[in-house]
Amino acid sequence: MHTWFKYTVQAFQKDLFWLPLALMGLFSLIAWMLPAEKQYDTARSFIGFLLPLIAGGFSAYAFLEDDALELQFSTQRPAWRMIVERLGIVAVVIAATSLIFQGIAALLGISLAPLGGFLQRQLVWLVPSLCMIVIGGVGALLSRSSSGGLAFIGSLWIIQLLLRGWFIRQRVWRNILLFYGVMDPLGNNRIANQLTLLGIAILLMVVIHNLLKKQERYI
Amino acid sequence: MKFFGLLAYEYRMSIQRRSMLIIMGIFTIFYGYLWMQMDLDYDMAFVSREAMLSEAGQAAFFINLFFPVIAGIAAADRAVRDTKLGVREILQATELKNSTYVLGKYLGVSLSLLSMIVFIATAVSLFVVFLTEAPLAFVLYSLLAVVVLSGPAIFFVTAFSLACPLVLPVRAYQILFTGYWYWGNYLSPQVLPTVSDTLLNASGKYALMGLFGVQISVNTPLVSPMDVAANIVVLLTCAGLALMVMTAYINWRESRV
Repeated sequence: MHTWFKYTVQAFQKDLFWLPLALMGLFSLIAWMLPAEKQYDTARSFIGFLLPLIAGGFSAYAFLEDDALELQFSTQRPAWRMIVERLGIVAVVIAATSLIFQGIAALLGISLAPLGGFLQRQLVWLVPSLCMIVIGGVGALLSRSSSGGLAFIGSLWIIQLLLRGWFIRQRVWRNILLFYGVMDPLGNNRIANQLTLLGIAILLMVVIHNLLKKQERYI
Repeated sequence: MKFFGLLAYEYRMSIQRRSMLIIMGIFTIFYGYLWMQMDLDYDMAFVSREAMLSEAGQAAFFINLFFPVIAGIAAADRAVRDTKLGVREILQATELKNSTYVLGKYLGVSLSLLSMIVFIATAVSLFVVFLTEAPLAFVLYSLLAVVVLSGPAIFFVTAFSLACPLVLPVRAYQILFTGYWYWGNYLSPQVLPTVSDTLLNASGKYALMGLFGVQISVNTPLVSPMDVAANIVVLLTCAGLALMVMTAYINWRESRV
């Protein structure tokens, strides 16, 4: 397990680690420079809007960019282990970035209380990020292209962000709005939204599992 | 001759990417769905030339919300791919100048993306004509709108998407680029410092307001045709500068080997 984990970390380019940290540093700096009344919005934007994009973007590159992909497929390892290793590392980096950023926000005196209690606040970024991680993986495997997966993630993110007002007004569509949790963190509809997103993530995880079994598609 | 060969090759390579075509198709269907959801008074929407121009402009502006993101991401791996697959070495063995290589690649990729957006706009406007009995001229207005609003955006993003991944990991660039498209074009300066209210805005906002007579919001200042021209010139100049830097970088990199 240890060797496989070490290999997975090395298979990823180092930008998986420095890009979230760099963006976190940038948003911390902006929040620090802005007047107090704008600091909360900046902090909220980073964890609720930007982290899901980073998560989905990295997961789109999680499977197919491995030079030793054919070798990986030739071993007897179950597909779920590859999913856990590849997508798990993205989730861990995103979780660490979010928690560190929340620590920095506290140091800067930014209250994230409008997003709810500590655990409730974590759902605001965790649910959309998990959903985007899985969508990124599915997008890349279905299109057999990491760039294709990222193009899907990018388009989905920008459409949802720009049309969030439209999404939130639609009784059905608001349940798949990635940013509902951060936009209406204490509203009643957030639970249905988060459950729907989690449901989609679980379903798509099964799809990834099945797609990874069709190894000849990617070689 | 080499230039046109390179351009044609890049065009074919870029337009045949099935994954990108499928993703564009998915979002175009969603775009069509949203179009049908709008409370549009069809009798009034196509009653005059001005009304049709306004509708066509808004439709193209809407395509610009997502299409340049796909275009930028799709173009990002085009130059890096040549190095990764060893094509650069083969090209170096010919007498192809790096400036010709960059320009041929740039125009090939840009024109292929532009063809796709023209196809989408034509298909959607024909659909609208079929659905609402709008005059066929609406298709021409849509094509005009997409060329004026989306053309500069495509040329702008493609230049940076070819150049930047030479010094940045492709996926890091693609993530940053997606974030940039929102930050640099749609984010209000009152929220965060941004270039969205400057001539660097590539969303087509200037052309929409200045040429198609659409007022985005009551707070937006009026835009003259001169502002539109300045916006397009600034975007194309930036694209040209990016390509020059890209050529200089490739020259420098290859001189070190």
